[in-house]
Amino acid sequence: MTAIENQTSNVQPSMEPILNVENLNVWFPITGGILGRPRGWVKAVNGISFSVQPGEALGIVGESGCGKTTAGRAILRLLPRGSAHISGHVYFEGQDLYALKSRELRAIRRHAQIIFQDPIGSLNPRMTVGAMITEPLLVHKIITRQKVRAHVAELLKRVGFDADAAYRYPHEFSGGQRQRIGIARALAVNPRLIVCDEPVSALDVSIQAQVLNLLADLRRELGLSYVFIAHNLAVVEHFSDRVAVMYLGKIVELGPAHSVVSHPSHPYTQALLSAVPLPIPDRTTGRTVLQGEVPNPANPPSGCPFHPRCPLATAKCRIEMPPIEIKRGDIAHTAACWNVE
Amino acid sequence: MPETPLLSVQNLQISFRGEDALVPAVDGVSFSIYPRQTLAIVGESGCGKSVTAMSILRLIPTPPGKIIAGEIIFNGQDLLKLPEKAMRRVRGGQIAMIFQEPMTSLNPVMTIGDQILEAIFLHQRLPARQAVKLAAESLRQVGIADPERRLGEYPHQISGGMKQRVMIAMALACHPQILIADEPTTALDVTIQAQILELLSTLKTKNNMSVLLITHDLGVVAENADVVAIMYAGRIVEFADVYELYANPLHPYTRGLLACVPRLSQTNQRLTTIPGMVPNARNWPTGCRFEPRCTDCKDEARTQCLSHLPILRQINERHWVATFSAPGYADAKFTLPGLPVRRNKTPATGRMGATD
Repeated sequence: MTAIENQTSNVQPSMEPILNVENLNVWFPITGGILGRPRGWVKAVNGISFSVQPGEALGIVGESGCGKTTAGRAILRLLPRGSAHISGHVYFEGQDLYALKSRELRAIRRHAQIIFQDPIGSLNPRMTVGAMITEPLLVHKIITRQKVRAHVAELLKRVGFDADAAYRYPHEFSGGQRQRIGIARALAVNPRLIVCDEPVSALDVSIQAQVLNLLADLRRELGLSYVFIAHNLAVVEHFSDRVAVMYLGKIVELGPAHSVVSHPSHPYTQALLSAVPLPIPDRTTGRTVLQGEVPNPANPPSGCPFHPRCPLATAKCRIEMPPIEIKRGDIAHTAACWNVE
Repeated sequence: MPETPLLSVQNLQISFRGEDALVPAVDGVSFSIYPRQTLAIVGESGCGKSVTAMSILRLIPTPPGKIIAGEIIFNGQDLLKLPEKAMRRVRGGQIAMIFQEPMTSLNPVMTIGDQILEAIFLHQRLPARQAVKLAAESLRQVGIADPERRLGEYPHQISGGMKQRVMIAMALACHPQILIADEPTTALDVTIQAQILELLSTLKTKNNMSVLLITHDLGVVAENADVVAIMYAGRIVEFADVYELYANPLHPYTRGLLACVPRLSQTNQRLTTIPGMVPNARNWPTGCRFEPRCTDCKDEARTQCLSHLPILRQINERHWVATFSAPGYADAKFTLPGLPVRRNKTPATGRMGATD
């Protein structure tokens, strides 16, 4: 059985997607002058669309500034009100999150949780682990106070702690343990979707594997769906069924994880893959080192955002943004490039 | 004639003052670097790799840090015994260093040019005009376009990758014999990382330098190092030629590290893990420090692991290891780990790619 069959075994494609993002835009204003009027926009997320099936893990990969974190926050409507101009639709289980009133939104939040990159900054240092896990249970009125203790103990056990960890404070734990506390807190409200924003990039390699395995186990046991955001392609490929590659606010390639990695269509994906240093000491094979840097998102290039660094760029690329479309006859695999059939 | 090492560290021990006792950070580390060689020190946070690197330039803040014992021999003299004035000539002159965070290593209120010139004037007597020329030339060398204009800019005006290039330019302005690079690409994106690593390797060859590369990324190591030292809990647990190490890792920790990294197009779904976590330096096990997480030591061998700390021993021409479970360890002897650069680099024969 190949990895891809193995990983997609608990995805039910016939069902309605748990998350459906349609043409999502998040533009941050660049303000200036005394009146603080916007002088321009940073299009952090610029018209992205994707869906996540129940039980599926969708990976979003890209370099810093590509908009992956902003996209992760926007799909849970976590960006502070008024901080950005947001348009497009995010349907969670069929309901448009941006059309909901705050009370309705709170009810839905229960089913969609987030895990952050920084396991130190995302836990309140003055609350015990138990209190932190209890808080969402009481906010969402999931459980009565009498039953809280047993429930917390069960959650802690699930992520590999003894029940007495509930009485300790975050500083008493290591980075990997804190990340597991973050996972327990997210799980407390029985979510169906978890957005993981760089969940292992702050951890040491030997601890990364433990946390990734835990997330994979939870997915299998609880039927969770994930949006898995990371910059490390190997980690994203390992964890996800499908992968979206982002560059300057746009999805440039989207397809089954193993297909994106073994047959990348977009020149950016190819460059990204080529840049990953492999743990094999063989210096005979050269790599194509991508020249230049990611352009300033406040002043993006015309046409295809990748054209200034692209080895294939033609005159057309400088003028017109290519649509994201099926490449190489694989209906699951799409990319946005004029020069790839 | 056998080559002599450029720098050798012998039995280095460094502790930091904790709340009530001295906490060891580096505990008996020995290795040597040969000319034109890249030695990578690999380990997880807290293993002592950065402290080892900083101590070579005597950059450990004292107190709380203290070098308890050891020698660092460079060009025939012990750097740890050098008077501060002489040390200042070595620091940034013959041995230079670049850091993980180019954002915080540059002075935000000085122009890039002034910062490079400061380094140049500290080590060389040059007329100002010539120094500016040298500064511009060093920026050009690291691939910065229009260097004369960049000299007048401030760090906030340039990107992260560009800042690391400036750091490298500054470090190389005085033509050091050794460049210490402490996680030089950890804060950078992969495509920028590839650019910086390629640059470092080109400059190393061009300037005949040795590089001491501190990193946790086994991919970066495989593609850039000639020789690798794996550190765990303050000690080097394995030291070998890079081909030998990846083909035939002997320490269970090295094997665990190689196995637990997700790789592209790897088919098995579950990652191999190293159970447990790094022991606290206040409370290192008396025997082998990896014993609580080790899957190798079982039954009869275990008593030894629990009571005795295995020292690093040379088990073949290109391989040192500190584990009782390695074949031939019992008969092997301690020697100062270090491998001169081989003329024609060919992969060591062995189980290539086998990691578990």
